[in-house]
Amino acid sequence: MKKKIKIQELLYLSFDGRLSEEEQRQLEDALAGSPRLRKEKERIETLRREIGQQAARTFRPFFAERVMHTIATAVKARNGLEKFTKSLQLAFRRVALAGATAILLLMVVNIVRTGDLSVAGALGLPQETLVEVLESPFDATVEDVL
Amino acid sequence: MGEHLDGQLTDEKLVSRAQKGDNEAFRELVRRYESLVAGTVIGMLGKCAEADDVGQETFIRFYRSLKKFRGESKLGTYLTRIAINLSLNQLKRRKRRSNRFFSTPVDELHDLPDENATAEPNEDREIVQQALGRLEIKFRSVIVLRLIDGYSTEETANILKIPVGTVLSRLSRAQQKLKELLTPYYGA
Repeated sequence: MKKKIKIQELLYLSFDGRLSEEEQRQLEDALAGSPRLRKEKERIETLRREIGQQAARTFRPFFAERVMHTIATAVKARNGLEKFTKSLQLAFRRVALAGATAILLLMVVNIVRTGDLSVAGALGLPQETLVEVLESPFDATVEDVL
Repeated sequence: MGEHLDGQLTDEKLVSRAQKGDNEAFRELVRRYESLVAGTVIGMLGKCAEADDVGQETFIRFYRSLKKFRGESKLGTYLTRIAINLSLNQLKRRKRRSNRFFSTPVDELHDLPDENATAEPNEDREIVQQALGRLEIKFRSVIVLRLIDGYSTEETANILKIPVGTVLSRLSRAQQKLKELLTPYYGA
């Protein structure tokens, strides 16, 4: 039984050219002496041939055209996205430049008005320490608010 | 660009032209390798709409990596590697979908015929395709690469990133299983 399995394994392996000389000889001897094994070999040959021949090898019609169309669409979409990103970057650059100019102008106005050349003065920050802020109680009345 | 390519140019020349943006050269490569990729993808997934999608995706991936393609492996092997990996991913997705939504086994889903497949009645082809669909994925992949695409056992091992010995044992078991399935059709 074990020998039969071994020969059958050798038969399958023989189709993929993987037998040593000794194994090849064993297989040839077995084939010569067994019509059943020869029949089995024919069956495997037919099986391999049929699988190779009957496999489907085409996609739906106009496959290449569909691939090229998909690629063209993707390229177009990517180009559109790139264009949008570039225009967005340009718009942001303009806004950033205008913002920086406005901040600079405000700082100059603050310096001219207060005569304080420090950063806090330029930014118009109140000259109070944290302690002063914390110590001053909130004493506004309803009348003050109204 | 836009010129008619008569199929005489080598793959290297076509790839080089495609890398420079020649879409006609790329189209010629798609035509040239459609049957190889179809053999792999349809062998793995069956003749269905998603096989067509995976086939397209194979070439789109290749298009995206054109600039990086240096020709270290043959173009056919390169495309087969993409096709088999995408097919395996698709089978995993199919299995997840099947587990989540249906009680139908994956093998039966594989056998669902495509509406276009009925337009070309070929009984033998259907039988072989269905038999392939009944194989476990690990067995199916070696059969597809070795017997349909015609790769050597070494190349098959290389594409699937498994040892040659594993390819041989899987081939042996897959053929035994296919023999059981196909003997009623191709005689005892």
